[in-house]
Amino acid sequence: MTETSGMSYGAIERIVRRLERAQVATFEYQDENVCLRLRLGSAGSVQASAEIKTEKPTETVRTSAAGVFTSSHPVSNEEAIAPGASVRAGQIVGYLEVGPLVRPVTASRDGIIGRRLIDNGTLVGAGQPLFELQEPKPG
Amino acid sequence: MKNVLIANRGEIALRILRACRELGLQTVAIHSEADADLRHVALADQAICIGPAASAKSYLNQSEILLAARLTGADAIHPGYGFLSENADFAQSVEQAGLIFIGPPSAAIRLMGDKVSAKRAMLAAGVPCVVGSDGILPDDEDAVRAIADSIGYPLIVKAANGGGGRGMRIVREAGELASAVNITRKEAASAFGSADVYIERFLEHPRHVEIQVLADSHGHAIWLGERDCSTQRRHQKLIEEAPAPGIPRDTIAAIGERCCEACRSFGYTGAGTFEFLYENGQFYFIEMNTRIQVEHPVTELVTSVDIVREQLRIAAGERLSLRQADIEVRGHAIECRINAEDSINFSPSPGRVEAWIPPGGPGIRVESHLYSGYTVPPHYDSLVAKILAHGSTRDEAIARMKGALSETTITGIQTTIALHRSLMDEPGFVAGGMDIHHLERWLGGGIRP
Repeated sequence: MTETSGMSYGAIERIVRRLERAQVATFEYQDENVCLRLRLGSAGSVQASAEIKTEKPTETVRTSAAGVFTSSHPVSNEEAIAPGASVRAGQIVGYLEVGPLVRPVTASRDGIIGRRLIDNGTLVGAGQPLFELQEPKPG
Repeated sequence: MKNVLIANRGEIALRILRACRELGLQTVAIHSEADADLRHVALADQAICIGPAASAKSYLNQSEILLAARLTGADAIHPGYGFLSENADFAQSVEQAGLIFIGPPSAAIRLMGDKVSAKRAMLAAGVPCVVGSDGILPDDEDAVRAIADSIGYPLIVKAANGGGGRGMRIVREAGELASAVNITRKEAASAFGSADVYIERFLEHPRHVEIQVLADSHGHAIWLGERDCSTQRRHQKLIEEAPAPGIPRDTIAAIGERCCEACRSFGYTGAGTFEFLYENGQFYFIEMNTRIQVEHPVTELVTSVDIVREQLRIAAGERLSLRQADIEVRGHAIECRINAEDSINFSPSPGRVEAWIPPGGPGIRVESHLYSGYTVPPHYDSLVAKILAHGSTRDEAIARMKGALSETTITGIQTTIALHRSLMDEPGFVAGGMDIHHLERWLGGGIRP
C-alpha cells in the first residue's frame, strides 16, 4: 500500500475507525485516482488494498436506460452529433427508441465526442457506452 | 404465452428460468448494472440492463420493466417474490399493457394488500381470523375502549396498510390503550400514508403455519399441505419445514379446504400462501402472500408438485392438471435459508465468493445463484442459497440436513451456515413445534454457534 496524495494512511485509519464503530464489514471506494477496498474481520483485523491508477480509462457517454440506439431523431435525418464535435454536459448525442417512444441520450460532461461504439439499430441496455468522450480542449 | 420476462434476481430468477425452459418458454432476464454477472442473466435467451444498482431505479422501476418487455418481445412478466410481486398497481399496468402478469389478477392483490379488506374476505369465506375490531377503529376514544373490552387483553394495534412486522403495538391493559392507538396512528400515517389502525387479540406463543394453494382461471383450487415457518428472527424466516410437527392432519385439511373456498370466492388465480398463527389447536389468518414464496421448494419436495411450473401453466390459461385427491404429503422436508450475513451479529457480508461447493446426496436440493468467483453485491437481500433436505421422517430430514450443511463450502463471504448447524442440534428445534419467539429466546440466551 503506497501513500498517495489522494488518500493518506491517516485518512484510511480514520475510515477504519468509523467503520468499526458502525460495525460495517466491508467498504469500497473508488474515484479517478484511488481504489480502496476494506474488509473488517470479526476480530477487528483489517485487510486493505489500495492501488493508484496510472492510466485513466477512456471515458464514454453511456446510456441511462434501455432502447434501440439511433444516432438521429426519427423525424430528422441529421445525426445528433458527429465524431470530433465538442459537446456540453446535457447535450443530446443520440436517441433510444422503444416502440413509439424516443428518449434522448445526453453527455454527462463537457468534452469532445470520439469514436461511436454502437451501430444504429442495436438494442442496448442501461449503462452501455455509446461514444468515446475526450477531455475538452484547454482554453 | 411464449416469452417470459423475469423481473427479479438471484436464486428465484434462476428457478423461474429453469421452469420456463422445461415448458419450452423463451426467457428475458432484466438486471441492474450491479447484476450483469448473475447466473440467470448468462442463461436467459435475452438479457437487458434496465438501470443502476439501486432497486428503485431497476427492479422496482415499473416503467423501465414494461419498456424492456416491449423491447424484447416478452408477452408475460414473472415478478418472483419481493420487489414488485405484490404491487397491485404494477400488476394492473402489466394487464393494461396487454401482457400476462404471472400471478393473480391485480384486483385480488389489492384486496389482499389491505389487511382490513383481506380479513373481511377471509371471514366471508369461513377462514378463521383472530378476534378483533370489525374494520378500522373509530376516532372516538370511548368507542375504541368498548371494542377493546369486548375483544379482551392482551391485544395488538396494527396499521391497516402495515406489514413486515412494522406498525404494530402490543397493549396489555386498558390503561395503555389510548396512547398505544394514538402512537400507532401517527407511525402508520408517516410510514404507510394512512392513519387507519385496527385491533386484534394478541397471541402470546403462536406458531407460524401456512397453507400453499394453487388456483386456475377456471374456478379450480387445490391446497398443497402446510409449512411450519416458526423459526424466525425479527419477522424473517430462517428455517421452514413440512409437514408441521404435531398438528392433526384433519385440522390442516379443514383449513386447506377453507383456503380453497376463499380463492374461489374472490377470483384468486396462480400460486398463493395463506399465513396463519397457530395456538392451542386453533388457526388464525394473518395475511395472504399473493406470489411465489421463498420456501415453496419445501412443499415441492413433499408433494412432488412443481409450483413454479404450475404457476406458469395457470398464467397461460391452462387448467390445473392436478385434483385435490392427487395431492399426497410424503416424508418430511426442511429448508435452511443461507444468508450472506455474519452468523453471530447478522451484519451483511457482501463480497467475492472465492469458493462455492454445494452439498449433494440423497434427498438434498440446493437453490442458489452462487458460483466460485461471483461477487455478492451489497445492494439487495442477503439470501444466497437455500439448502433443502427431504427424508422419509423428520429425523431423517434433519440428519440429511446436518450432513449437507457440514459439506457446504462457501469462502470469501460470511454466511449463516454455522447458525443453521447449531440449530439442527438445538433441543427445541429437534423436538419440533416451537413457537415464533423460540429462536430469539435462544439467541438472547447467549447461545451462539
